[in-house]
Amino acid sequence: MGSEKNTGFEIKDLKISFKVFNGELKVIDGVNIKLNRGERMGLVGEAGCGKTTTLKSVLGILPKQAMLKSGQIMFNGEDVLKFNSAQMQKFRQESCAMVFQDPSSALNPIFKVKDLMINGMRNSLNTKDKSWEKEAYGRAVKALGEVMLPDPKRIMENYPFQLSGGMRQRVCIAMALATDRHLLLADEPTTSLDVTIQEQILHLIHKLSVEKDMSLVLVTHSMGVIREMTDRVSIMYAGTIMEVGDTKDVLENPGHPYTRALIDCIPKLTGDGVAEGIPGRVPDYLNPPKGCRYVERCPKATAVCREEKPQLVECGPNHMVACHNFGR
Amino acid sequence: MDKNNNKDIILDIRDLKKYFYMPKGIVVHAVEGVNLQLKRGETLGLVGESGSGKSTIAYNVIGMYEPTSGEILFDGEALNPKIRKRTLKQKGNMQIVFQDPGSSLNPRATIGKNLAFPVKLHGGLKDKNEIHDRINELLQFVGLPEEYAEKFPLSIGGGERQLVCIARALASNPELIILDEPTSALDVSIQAKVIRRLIDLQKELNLSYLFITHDLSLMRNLATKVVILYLGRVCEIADTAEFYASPLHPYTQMLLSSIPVVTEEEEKLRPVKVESRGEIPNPADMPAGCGFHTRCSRCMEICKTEHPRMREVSPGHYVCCHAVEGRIVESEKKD
Repeated sequence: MGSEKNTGFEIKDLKISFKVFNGELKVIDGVNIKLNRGERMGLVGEAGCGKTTTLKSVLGILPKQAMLKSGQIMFNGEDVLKFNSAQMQKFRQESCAMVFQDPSSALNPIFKVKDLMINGMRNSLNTKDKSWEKEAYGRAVKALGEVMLPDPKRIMENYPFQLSGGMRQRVCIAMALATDRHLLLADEPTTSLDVTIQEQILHLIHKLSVEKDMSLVLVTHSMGVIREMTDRVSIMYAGTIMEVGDTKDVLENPGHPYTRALIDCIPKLTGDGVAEGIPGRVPDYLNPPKGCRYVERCPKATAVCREEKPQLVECGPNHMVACHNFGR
Repeated sequence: MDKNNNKDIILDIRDLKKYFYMPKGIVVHAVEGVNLQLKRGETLGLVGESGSGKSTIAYNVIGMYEPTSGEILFDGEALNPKIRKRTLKQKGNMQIVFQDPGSSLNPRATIGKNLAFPVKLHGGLKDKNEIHDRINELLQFVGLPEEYAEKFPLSIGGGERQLVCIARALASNPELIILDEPTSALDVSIQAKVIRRLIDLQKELNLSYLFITHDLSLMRNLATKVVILYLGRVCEIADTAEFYASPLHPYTQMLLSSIPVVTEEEEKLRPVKVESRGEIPNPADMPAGCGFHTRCSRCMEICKTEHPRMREVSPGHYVCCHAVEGRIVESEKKD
């Protein structure tokens, strides 16, 4: 694990389409994400805007219909998308791990936690050594302890259905982090959990990412979670990145009309009433708008928005926005 | 709570209990003696974690479940626990909107047909044109264009589908609508739209809402009164402003402090950081005493053995906790 090479993680101009019977769904249309080592990046967007697809493309677990049109995913100076299967396997074993949204379907119900965890480590450890199973067991118990599950040895003997939702998600995180990783992809890890449990899980992920100096990509649709968890945030809409910047900066001075509308929509504790919501819906991916993909819902849309796709431009220190109207 | 004059109160739940009997003699105490009152034209917010009995209460009211004990009064009139014995008018007076609009509409019928059934049943309309007009009127109420009557539920977005569900609930001219997490499956931008519509409809048609959610920030903007449930029991009831200004129950404080907020002003409104720990216990295996004592930071000896009684802290603000001072309310019976 050449850690000296580990300079970060970057997605460059990623484009992914899905083949369907009446054409091509152009879902991801030029996603750019740059992440320095040990940084926590949030990826926010509405349902169906391609957040999960982006993450899946990193691990090479896209469904068969998906077609990679262009793009690079650089990790440690290598392009992940060009990996052959052995390299990919190695990448998954040693560098990158993912935590999924629904912990109950991410764990195989017919195996004990013990078997799940040890099997997961089978490839990461040296299996030629006879005692690898013992080592794996030890590591698994340690990992379960790290995610603050009480009595890890008892939990090792349990089946997933015997655990509660929060505990299952902890097991998933423990599985992802049982061996050292440089990058953790968390795909809405707390959406199916209650707020109090959500807080515990987020706290845990944050703590582990700091302790292990791990980069984190956190996908969510909750701005609140982003604010508490991440250093930087990318706002995603219909397969394109609309705005990138330091979390605090983006939330306080959103540059893109979409970001602003999204923040306004969130019900606030201050009780200022409920916003109007954003009119319209996500564009049809079969025939997406030629220009900016937000054009049909944007109150400030002009002719140029319809024709030309906006590029990410600097609008402040460390803050980029993809909007033709910015600065006008 | 006090003996208010009953004219105002549209829904009165008295000491409602619902147990589920499972194999091997396991009893799940889903709702354990809940007293709630909803005034006409107001919104009562039921908040709690999953497994706290929010939906069970709603299903008991609507008649999907039969209460183990307790009474449900609608407009001062006791409802039969069996839904079959309720009159059509009683059923029409309250309607429910479920969480997942995708599975609560018939995917093979157009939206018009989905709406026509309750229109025919409750409205007693027979003439085709009348039915058509009524469907259009319902769609208008929720702000959808008339063409939607010809569309199928799958071809419209999730938020619009939920609006159709609301339109369907309105078909019987109800006075009370139970909203069981109507927006938790939706994105915030769409949620805002649906909630706006609900608020407008409430004013237009003088509806009362029993709103179930786990989103306390949403409740702040919507409810007139908030009820916090934990393990089938009420922890705290207060008017919204009072509730958010001075939450008293340790569980409420834990809930409020764990909401992820977006702005700095909101941060200030949260109570002092209470670290959340533990998980909601299994309702089949309830802890003795106060249900919350396993997670409570202010747990005392008495909490482990005796369930606290409801106390009135200030007018209209009730808390169920040993650590909070207040006048014990007598209507809360033994237990």
